[in-house]
Amino acid sequence: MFTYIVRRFLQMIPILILISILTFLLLRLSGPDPAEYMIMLNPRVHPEDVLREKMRLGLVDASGKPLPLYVQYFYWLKQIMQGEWGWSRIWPSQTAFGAIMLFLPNSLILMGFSLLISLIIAIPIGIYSALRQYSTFDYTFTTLSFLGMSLPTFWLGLMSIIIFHLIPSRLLGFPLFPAGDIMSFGKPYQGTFYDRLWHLFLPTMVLAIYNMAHWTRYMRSSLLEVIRADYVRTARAKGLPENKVVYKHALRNALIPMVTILTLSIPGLFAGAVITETVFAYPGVGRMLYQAVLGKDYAVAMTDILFLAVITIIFNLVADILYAVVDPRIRYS
Amino acid sequence: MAVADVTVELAPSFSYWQMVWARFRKHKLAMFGGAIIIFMILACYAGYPLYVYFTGNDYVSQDLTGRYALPSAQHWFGTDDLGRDVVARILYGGRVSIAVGFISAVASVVIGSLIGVVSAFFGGWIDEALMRFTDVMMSLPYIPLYLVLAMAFGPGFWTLVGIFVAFGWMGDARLVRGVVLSLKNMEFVEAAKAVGASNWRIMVRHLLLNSMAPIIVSTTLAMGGNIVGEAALSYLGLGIQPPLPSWGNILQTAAEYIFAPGNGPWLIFYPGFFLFITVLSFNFMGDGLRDALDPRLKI
Repeated sequence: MFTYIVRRFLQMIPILILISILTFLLLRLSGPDPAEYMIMLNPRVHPEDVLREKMRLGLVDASGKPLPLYVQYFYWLKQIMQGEWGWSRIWPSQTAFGAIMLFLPNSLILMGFSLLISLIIAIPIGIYSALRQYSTFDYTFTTLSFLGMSLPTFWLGLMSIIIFHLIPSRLLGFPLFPAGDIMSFGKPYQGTFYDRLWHLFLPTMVLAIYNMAHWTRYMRSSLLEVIRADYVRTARAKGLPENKVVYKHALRNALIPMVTILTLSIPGLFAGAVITETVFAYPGVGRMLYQAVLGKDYAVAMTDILFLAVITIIFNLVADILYAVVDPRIRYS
Repeated sequence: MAVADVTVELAPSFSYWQMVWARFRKHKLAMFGGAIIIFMILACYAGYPLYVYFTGNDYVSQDLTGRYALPSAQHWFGTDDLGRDVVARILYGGRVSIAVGFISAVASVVIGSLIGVVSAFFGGWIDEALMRFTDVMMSLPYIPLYLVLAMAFGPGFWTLVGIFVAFGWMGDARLVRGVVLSLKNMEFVEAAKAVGASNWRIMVRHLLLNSMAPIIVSTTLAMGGNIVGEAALSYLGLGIQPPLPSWGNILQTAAEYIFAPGNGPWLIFYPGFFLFITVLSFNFMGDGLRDALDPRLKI
């Protein structure tokens, strides 16, 4: 087990290097370098300052000649390793990493809540569907999960704004739910717990409906997979009561793949939801990334991509290790 | 002594595709999905010119005095913020959305299948290198990269297709590799080798044709997925650019003016509804095809 973990750690290194190269190339090829931003921000900046900044970033040598791309890459890598992320262009006096940290908590709250809600609803439905395969209940929820999977989240979000905000405010004079943001500004209850919850409701529900559809299908199919296994038949044959057969023998085995899928979906919490956050003007990392891309704030965008790639790889590893932990049949040598 | 007349009644025999069709037909939701897809394609490609001919509304002509017109016999779904006819825009936008979904799904499945079959057939370091590359591509956070790449290459039809292909082939490669690994040691491959078939011929005619079932299912599902992807990126303004309409950017314009007086909620409802129905149909059809082509298939 230990050697397996070590080997997997070592395998992460080439993947990380490849990702850093890809990120670097995208950063360099997709926009002007940070020194050119100095000129754009302040046209009267001294050319010597620009040259010094370019030298500091490892873009040019002392005579002002551009260095080869691979040399630039190593300079960049060194800076990243030293925690020098570069400055954000559209969030003043924030480093690229600081900007991410500024918006991350909001996304974690939103994504965490919606994941939790969808699991609480989807897992029992999935279990019941699998136990009563081809029943009316099963058909109804399988069809509903198809509907949920096919619903574009931005449309669902816009429709929920129309139904819960626009129409009530035109007919009743007040909205049932706010159309966006995280709190009501300029109100006596600004930022209170209930105010935050009130603002979270619509985006959380939109994401939860989408997630629920997927989780129901995963749960149903992984339980169906084990319900016909020999050890379940053995458990029945030796006369165990049905609920013991289902909950102790079948369900616990069916949850093994669920643990893996759940672990692999955790990086999604750190990515935020670009589209849902944009629809609801919710200040999370997803919307931050969108604004960074539109504002050509490449330091922030690339740091976010690198950050997410690292988290994805880490959780891939965690998923593999957890898989071995929860399933004693798996032996790694 | 005369031989008794015996008529032998043979059980009717069916080809593989006849059986597939028989199984597919029983899947009601998949049939419904297939019908909707055919209807959408006909409506967008043949219906649009007919609509222009009969009502005289095309997707670009503006009528600034008739902005936000209510649905009427002249404008079935009303008009938008520039007085353009919404039906015409949705039908023409459907062409763009369906084309993006179709081209990118087919291209990524072709690339993915080729990588998968080469990887499995040759094995060794080729397999190792291709699969590591696939792993790297899969661990990239693709949604942020969609945004950055769309911005870097300039948003547009072919940028969109390119992005969906670049990040869409990995699943197909793994799928095909898995199937081919189980096929390549079977007798028919050995027989093909024995009669002197070239590697290319074995890969394409024998291995790829025998892994058609998962390929078809995954292409169908990818079409639906890419149509949503197109709409999502266009909604963010990084996909199809106006004046060319697509379901995503029609929705975006409608959403931009969501609180404008006179902007009816139906301007947001219609494009999204068409999108939803189309994607749902592709998902239903994919599900039905999976059951029909190979009931044991797991994708």
